[in-house]
Amino acid sequence: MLFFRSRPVARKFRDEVLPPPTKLFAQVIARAIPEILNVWEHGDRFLTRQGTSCPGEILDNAGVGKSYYQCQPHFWQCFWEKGVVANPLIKIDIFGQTFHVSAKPTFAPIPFYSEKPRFYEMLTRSRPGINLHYGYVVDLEVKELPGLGQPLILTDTCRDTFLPQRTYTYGKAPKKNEKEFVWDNFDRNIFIDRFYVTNQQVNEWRLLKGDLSRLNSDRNLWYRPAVLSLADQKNYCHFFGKRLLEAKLFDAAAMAPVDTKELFPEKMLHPQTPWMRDISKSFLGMARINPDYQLSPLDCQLAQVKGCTEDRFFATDSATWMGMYFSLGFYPESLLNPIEPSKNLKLSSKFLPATSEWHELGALSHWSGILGEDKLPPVAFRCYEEVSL
Amino acid sequence: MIYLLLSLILSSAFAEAPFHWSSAFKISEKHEFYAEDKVIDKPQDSWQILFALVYPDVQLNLQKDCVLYRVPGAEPGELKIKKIPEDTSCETVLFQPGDQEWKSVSDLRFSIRDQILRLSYTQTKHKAEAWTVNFLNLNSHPKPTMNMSSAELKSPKAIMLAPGTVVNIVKPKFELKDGDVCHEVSDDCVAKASRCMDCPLGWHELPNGCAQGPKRCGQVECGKKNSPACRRGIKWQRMQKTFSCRDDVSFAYCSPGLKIECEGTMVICR
Repeated sequence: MLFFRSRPVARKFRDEVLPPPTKLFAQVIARAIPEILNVWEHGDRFLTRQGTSCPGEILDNAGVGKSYYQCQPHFWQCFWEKGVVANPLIKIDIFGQTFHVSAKPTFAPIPFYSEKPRFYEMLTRSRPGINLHYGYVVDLEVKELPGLGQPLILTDTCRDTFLPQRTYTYGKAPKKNEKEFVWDNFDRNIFIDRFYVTNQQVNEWRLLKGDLSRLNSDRNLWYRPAVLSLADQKNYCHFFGKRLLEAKLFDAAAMAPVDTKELFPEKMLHPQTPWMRDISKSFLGMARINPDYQLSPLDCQLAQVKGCTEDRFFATDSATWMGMYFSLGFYPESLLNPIEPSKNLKLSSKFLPATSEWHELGALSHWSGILGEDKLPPVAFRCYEEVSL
Repeated sequence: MIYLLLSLILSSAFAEAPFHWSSAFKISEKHEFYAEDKVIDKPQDSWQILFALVYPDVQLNLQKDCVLYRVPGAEPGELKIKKIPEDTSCETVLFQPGDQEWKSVSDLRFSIRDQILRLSYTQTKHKAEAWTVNFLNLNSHPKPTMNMSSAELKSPKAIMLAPGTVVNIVKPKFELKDGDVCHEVSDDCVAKASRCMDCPLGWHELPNGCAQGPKRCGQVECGKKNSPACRRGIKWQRMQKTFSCRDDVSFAYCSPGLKIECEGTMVICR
């Protein structure tokens, strides 16, 4: 009978032995981070013609450029609510298995936005140690490894851009017998906001401060530049460890050097536009000599002036040499100016015709800083940050 | 499913590094005499601090795990991890029971290189353990380049936090307040490490002619009356020289109508 006893089948073990669940979870999450960052930093890449379908969270608008959806917490919320793609799960293949990573709606609802649990929470630093002033906490899970979660902070890598270290000048080309103001930012790490501060960002500031009385609930206005008094502009920037942009930094960001590798040029140039040194060769110069000049769509992309019909928020056509936008046209912009304190306003905007002499780099005007006191259109602003490590 | 079950079974057999170690962003109190990857075998029968890991929890509280080892000798070796407040030294808990302990440990070695911790040891019956931890939060502060954001300079793009509830530890509020010096730079331009990122609401510089001037917490608009002068720089002049308030003050400027006054090496606008 022994000869007929069935032999036990040799059990085959896989060559690879799976690590314990927590270690496996950590490895899956580590593998998923680049994709998570892709959703966060480049959410616009997931947009289809259908756009977003989260009207209670974020609106699609033809006049809003795709940059609006980058490092955008409302887009993040919409994405994980399946308002962008039907299946937002991130697929990770590891150890011969497929795992699916997603964000969890761990965070309390923000009633001002909606009653749904949030897939993120905004935080500002309340104690030292971490090198950031603000960020967005999210919580990740792996569908195949239930019961485990990984909280992490997504930082706002889309907001500002580095001002290269070199010598710069300020203002228009000096007249005869005038001395130009040359300065440098060597050994300084200065980062300038790419876009204006928006109503949405001001809402976030007010929510963090607990100031719920002046929140802007109209989502159609969220992507538009915030209109604050000078004092509030400074307070807003300071709250996030930043400062209101200075005029000389604005000029540095807008006036393209002839040779970016030449850090100490013999002659400091004062380009009159971000894209052309001599304004007479640009559409603005042509408009000045020809009042019948017809603005083209390309003109309006470079500098939105009066007569341009389409609103262009978060469009990236007007980039300066170092990645700042809206340096001419668009909105008047508030600037701090210790060099010439009374010149604290870039007046060039979409409220002035192309023929206006204000459409020129270095042409600064003045505002009182108090809303409603000057007869001015809405005055936008942006911040900059200097990092000391 | 079978493989997950297998891994569950295996997990109870193996020890592993604490899950939250991958969110450490600072390594401190590393033993200065132990060479990387060499078996630690002296001083025998003594407790030693191998290293400490500082990591943020979900509330951004900073926690510290002390990794302590009693070197085997007459008694078997022991490895323990003790969680303490970030501002406490591991010395204070060297002889306290650990939060996690491994007995009868020998042949322990570790290395921390390229943002990876590797630690291995042997327990009784020749059971070998090896831990590998990727420190995802360690940031080497890259050299800033065109189009880089401030966030990328200061920290990793995604900062891992230790999951789960952590021991209730009372954390200090901001130690630095407005007006405190956060970056010491001597008159002869010897600079200490900057702590200005620890200021609650930013900082301002007091240009003194050095490549980096001393800095204080708080936002102060430069160039105004009775304020520090604004920094103009020490390189635009295109000459190698020493700058100071009394010798050549072209490194700073005030708003029009104000004059520069020197208070020691500080440049003030009056």
